[in-house]
Amino acid sequence: MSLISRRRKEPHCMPGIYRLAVIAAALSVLLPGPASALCVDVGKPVPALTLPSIDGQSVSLDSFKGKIVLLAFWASWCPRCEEELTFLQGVYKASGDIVVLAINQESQNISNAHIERIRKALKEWKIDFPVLLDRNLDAWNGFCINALPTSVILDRKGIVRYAEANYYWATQDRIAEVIREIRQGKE
Amino acid sequence: MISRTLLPPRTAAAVLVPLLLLQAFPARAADGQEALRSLVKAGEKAPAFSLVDVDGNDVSFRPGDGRAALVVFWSVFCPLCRELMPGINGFAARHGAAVRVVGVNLDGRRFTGNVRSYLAETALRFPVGLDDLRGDFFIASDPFGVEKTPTAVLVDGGGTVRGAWAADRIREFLSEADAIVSPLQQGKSPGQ
Repeated sequence: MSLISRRRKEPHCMPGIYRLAVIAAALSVLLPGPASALCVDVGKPVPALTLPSIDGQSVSLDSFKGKIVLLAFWASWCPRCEEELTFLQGVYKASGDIVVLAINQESQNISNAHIERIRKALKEWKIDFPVLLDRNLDAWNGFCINALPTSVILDRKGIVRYAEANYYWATQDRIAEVIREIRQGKE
Repeated sequence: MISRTLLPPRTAAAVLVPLLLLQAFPARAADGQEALRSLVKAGEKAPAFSLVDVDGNDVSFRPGDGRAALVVFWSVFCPLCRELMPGINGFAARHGAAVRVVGVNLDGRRFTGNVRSYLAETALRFPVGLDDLRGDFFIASDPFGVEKTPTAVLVDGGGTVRGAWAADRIREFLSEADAIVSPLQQGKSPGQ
């Protein structure tokens, strides 16, 4: 007899709400969550940010007002980040009103040899949107990043419309949905 | 005025020559690593390393000391590492007597506080050394060719790599760990 069927027959089985609470508690233990929440809020602007790109250009978030901006926080050691960046490359190529900025979070502590390896990986993945180096952890601290990859979507006015660590929780469908809502002018 | 600020030729040479040499021959890790490599494979000799933990205590790995080891490279900010760490900790509990587990954190010294908090939360049963750059290369992870986290490398008592698993593949290692490490616990070395 399975455990589930045995439980169903017990007269003093756990009430539904308690059962849900137990399941939620078990999930919170089994699914590791981020250490703390991001410190950017949906509906509010993000901190001003200027970072060098991997090609040596200075890139400022302010300069992209009028476009939808997808910020992808990533690191080369992160297994899901390649998947994330290649997905965003497709979005970037297909849409003239979208800018993708990939903010590399390992660059605070790597050498030129590692930067070269990152360049090679980006070429293999066919990424051609700007990749920024967060050498002083300005973005990391400004956004309170605590897990990679993390995605933030800004609307044309620079207002946060989406901000989540998306290793387990977010989906590419959700990102597409937020972009659609911005285009439709939804608040 | 400008000529007065110029260094005498000998002094200028003494300053410039080492700088030019540094440019031509960038600093290398202690083991002479000259380029980033791919992940170590079974049959290769495992590299040694010496790191410190969050409290400054020595965390060294000396392959070939007669005891098998599992070296685990990880990051605090890597959700997969957090997910798999209880399994690795369980491995240390079951096999720690025969297979020493050594953790290597890749987050860099700016995140020592985050590593300390994580270690306090999780009570790992094995030491964790903090990897660091020495010249162009990380002391521990680059000689092993680590590119993804988590990565686990199993080394036998003779210092030979018996297997390396990266990212999701660590699930395979953990599910088959008892069978994989059994020959090592019997003291067998490769080829036997």
